[in-house]
Amino acid sequence: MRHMEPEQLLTHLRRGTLEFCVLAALRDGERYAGDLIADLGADGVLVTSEGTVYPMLSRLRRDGMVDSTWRESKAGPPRRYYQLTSRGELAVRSFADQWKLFRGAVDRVLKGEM
Amino acid sequence: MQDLTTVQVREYLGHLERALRDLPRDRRTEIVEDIRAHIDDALSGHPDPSATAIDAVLQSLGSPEEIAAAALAEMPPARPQLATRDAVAVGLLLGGGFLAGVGWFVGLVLLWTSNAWRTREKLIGTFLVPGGLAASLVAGGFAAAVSGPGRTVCSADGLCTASRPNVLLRGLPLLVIAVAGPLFSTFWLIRHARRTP
Repeated sequence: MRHMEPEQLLTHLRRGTLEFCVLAALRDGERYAGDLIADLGADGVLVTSEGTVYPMLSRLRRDGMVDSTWRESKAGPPRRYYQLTSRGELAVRSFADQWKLFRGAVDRVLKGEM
Repeated sequence: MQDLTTVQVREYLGHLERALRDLPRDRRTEIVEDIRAHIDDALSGHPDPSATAIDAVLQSLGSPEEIAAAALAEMPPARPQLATRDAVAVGLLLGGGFLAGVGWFVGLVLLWTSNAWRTREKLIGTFLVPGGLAASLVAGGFAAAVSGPGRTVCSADGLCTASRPNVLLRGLPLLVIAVAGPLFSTFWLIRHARRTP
């Protein structure tokens, strides 16, 4: 692997994990897309360009991982709210298990314990 | 200032549409609408947003190029397809003979310079039938026409004319063979072409 800038590295690492973070963020109930994205991107690590999450949400919808509903909003234009489906729930659970294993393994290597 | 809102946002969304042009239309529309709704919602709190405020919203969204890259990454992987130049080669080998005869030779060059087929396949494509459909139809028709003895028909008052055998009747089986060759060859080439993902 050639040398990568930190931002490139992060992009690389997000691939495959960000979608599960999006699903996990919906575990506590439905959320407005804009709020969900703002929260995920709050620390600038998981999301830097908010617009890039919308294609992912569309794809998750097409794959049956999430459902969406347009709701009228008192404060402004209609908003699209996303909900986790049971399929999406299963996917997050599976990811959470694998992530624990993976994270543990990587940490051990980095600490020199392997 | 309301005009400024619309112009800035319209420009951004126009740029986004162009950046997404390689996507299928339904996906492109979906993403643009989602982004439009995001912007509308973000600006709905301000009755008269300044150019700076609008710019901040657009900045946080990211550039149209970044969004387009994310959208392309979400597309399902493309199925391997026959390369255009290889499809053209097959077409010309079949029917290029009708294009002043030259078309078939162009197809031949495309065939042999392609890396989608092994030599064996290329030989089949070349020799079954050289000249393609055009040549085999001509050859078939010629064979039908010259085969068989002519008949001499004489009328009552002594006028005799020589007639050739019924070309169509005799030629039909030959025609079938003539057409089958190039068609088989076409099918064979398509079947055995290496496709690019």
